[in-house]
Amino acid sequence: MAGSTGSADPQRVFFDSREMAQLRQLEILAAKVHKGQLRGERETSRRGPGTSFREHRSYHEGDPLRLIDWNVLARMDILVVKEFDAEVSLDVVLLQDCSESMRGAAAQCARKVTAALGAVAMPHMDRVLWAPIGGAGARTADVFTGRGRLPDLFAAVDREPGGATDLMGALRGAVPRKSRGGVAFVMSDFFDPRGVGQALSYLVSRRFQVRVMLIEDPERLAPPPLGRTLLKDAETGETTLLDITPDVVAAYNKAREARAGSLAGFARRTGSGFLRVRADQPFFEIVRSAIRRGWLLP
Amino acid sequence: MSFYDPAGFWLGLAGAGVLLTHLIRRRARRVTVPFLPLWAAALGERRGGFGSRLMRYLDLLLVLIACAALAVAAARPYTEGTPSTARDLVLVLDGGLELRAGDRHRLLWHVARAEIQRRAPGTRFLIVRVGEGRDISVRCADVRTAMAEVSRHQPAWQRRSPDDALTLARAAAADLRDPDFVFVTYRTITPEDWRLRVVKQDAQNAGFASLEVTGDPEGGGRFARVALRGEGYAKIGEHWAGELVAGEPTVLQLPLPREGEAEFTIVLEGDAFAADDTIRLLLPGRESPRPLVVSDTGEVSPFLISALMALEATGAITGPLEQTVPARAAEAAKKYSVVIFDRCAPPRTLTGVPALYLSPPVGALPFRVGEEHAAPALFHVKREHPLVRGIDLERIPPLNGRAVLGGEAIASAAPGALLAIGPAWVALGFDPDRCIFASTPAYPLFLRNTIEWLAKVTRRSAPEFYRVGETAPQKGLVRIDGEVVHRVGQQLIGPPGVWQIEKRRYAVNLLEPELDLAPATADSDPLPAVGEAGVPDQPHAALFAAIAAGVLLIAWWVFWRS
Repeated sequence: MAGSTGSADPQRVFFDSREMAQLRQLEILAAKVHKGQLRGERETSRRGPGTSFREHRSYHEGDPLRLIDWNVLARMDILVVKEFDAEVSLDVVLLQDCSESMRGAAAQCARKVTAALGAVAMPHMDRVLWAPIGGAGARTADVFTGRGRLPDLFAAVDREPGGATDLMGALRGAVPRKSRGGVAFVMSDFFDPRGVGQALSYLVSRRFQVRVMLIEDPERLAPPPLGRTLLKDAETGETTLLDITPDVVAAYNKAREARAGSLAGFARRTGSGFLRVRADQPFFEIVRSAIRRGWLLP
Repeated sequence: MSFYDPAGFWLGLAGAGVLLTHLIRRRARRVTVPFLPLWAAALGERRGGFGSRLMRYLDLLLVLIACAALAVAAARPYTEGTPSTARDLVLVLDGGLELRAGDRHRLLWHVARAEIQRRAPGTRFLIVRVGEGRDISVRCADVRTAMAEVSRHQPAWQRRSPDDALTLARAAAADLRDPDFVFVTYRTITPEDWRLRVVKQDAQNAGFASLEVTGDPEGGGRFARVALRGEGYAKIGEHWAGELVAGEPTVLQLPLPREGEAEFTIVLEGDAFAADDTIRLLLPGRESPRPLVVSDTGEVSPFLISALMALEATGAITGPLEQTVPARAAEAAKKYSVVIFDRCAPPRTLTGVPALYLSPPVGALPFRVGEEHAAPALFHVKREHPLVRGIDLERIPPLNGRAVLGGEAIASAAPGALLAIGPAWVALGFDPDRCIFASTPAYPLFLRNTIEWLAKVTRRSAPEFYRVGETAPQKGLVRIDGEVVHRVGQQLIGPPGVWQIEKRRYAVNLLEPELDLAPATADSDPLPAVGEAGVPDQPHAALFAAIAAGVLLIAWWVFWRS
């Protein structure tokens, strides 16, 4: 896997045993909170294979013999078959920004959040689709299912940042056109020169419930000292000569806030979740904030 | 704008230093940012227009302006003033009494003052007074002092010629700036290099008035034409029209008329003159007196006849000689200007006629005579009197004589006056035939002096010349030169010129000892201003220094605000 750190024990890279225990607790808490919701091991309103009996119906020719309720036939001499609620797995799409702009604390924050989401989703047989944003361009998502694949997911998310942000390209590669929907988590700084509105709308149009996490690295986003400065874009390499003045700094901060506000507005309009975090925030503080603000609820 | 010290511009290098420091200080840092478009939004606001860009460089701009202003101030800028076009003035004032003849507050002094007042500020004056006992030239730095100096000028008998005045003025004005010479006399002589001088000395005796015109322009080549147009002397005028050669004086002899008077107009033309100039000259006629000799017997002394014939031959008297007896003298005297009584008394009916009494007896005389004395010795003679001009009476011992009582004594002896004069008479108290007097050349000279003196006395009631400002005795005075006719009556006579009283012409402004020149220059014409005052240089160093200080203050304020 390109950009992978290739750690022998990636689980330990992200979380120690205490943190994993907390995540397992979160998992339980999450299960409680989301009981009856669509989970990988939970029933659906549709009939289908499952473990939860729903009702009997008359036998029709061709029905599998294993569905015949033999007890009813023996007692009442009626040939019926048992029907169950279908139990399907949930597609959890994890989009991790691995572009150059995320280098540093933001990238580490994105790794841990992505890994944590995978750690929460995979034990419940949810299908995790992970795809990086940036780097080599559009690519298909890696699918991870089952707790046993968690180390693989950890290994995948442990990527070094690089390349330009291409959110739309990453989504088109990761989400098939005929998607059955699911939950899409996007962890990024959303520094895409082409804009992010269209890409996020693409996710919504694919019946995904979108959860947007805006990760900001205060250290990298802090304006440089006042004075004449040659600004270089970390991803594109473009440069601009700028005289940094208090007014410019104010305008820059205003632009940042406007951009965050634009993302929040998009989330409100589409019923998506939006969470703005600082990269230097403690991880579990981010988790608590996500729970408190309903960001984790699908 | 010019600069006194252009080396001060080297201070402008300080601006280069400021600019270099600014560039070093503003050298761009290199910072990698995660997302440049985020800054582009800020740039979009900051790069809005020229105003925002100007504000970014305002402090540098202000400091550079201050440096430039300081450099300009160090170079000591100034605005060049306008150089003065004023020419210094050499004002030569004629000190002759003829200046006194006029109304000096309105005529010549007015001319002098006007010449001074029309000069531009900054003009220096050299006032040369001519005609005083010593050379006087006074320098005046401004109009006010020059005006005061002119006012102090007092005319006197002229003892210096205009040539001397001009020579003196030229020597004194050697250090003046292109001096303009103005000779204020009855004529303002311009330009200086052409002069018209009328030499009157002895002209009456010779029957001619001499005019000497001298052309001496620098560089030569220019000429002036002098035309003499005498009223009734057109022939002479044509004859004397001619040209003047530079550097060669030309003397014009004007023959005086035998009778009456003549008016000449001298026209000076040519590019050497500022303008054509005209001088009007009035020459008195040579009307000689005509004597009548009266004796008791009808026979006249042969010495007397001989002397009168000599005078007639020289033109001193008009002939032919006539003689009569006292009984007819009263009737005959009306046709003669002077009556000579040869050892006889006049009739009682003859009064008021100018008369010469030679050894008069007791009778109807305008004076009294004393007893006869033998060999009276003359001990006192008024030598300056015209009667005895050229005659030494003290060397003529009379054999006998009678004292003349009454009148003014000209020659006196022990008994009394032997030669006396009255209002219209001259009495010789001894017989010239009975001494050597009648046989000497002094006798006809005495007769000429006496006849001319008596004839002149009779004309005193109607003088030939009036000074400007004198009261004309007659009414109906009109000016005949030009179209303007003034009737001044008993008022002061006005501008100089040739006037006429009851068909008799008089030259106003003429003074006997001076030149018979009547100026025709219109003194009342407004004189154009001469020169313009210069504008001094205006330094601007202080202004630029103040600008630099002000700009620095603004730059400091801008820096403090940023």
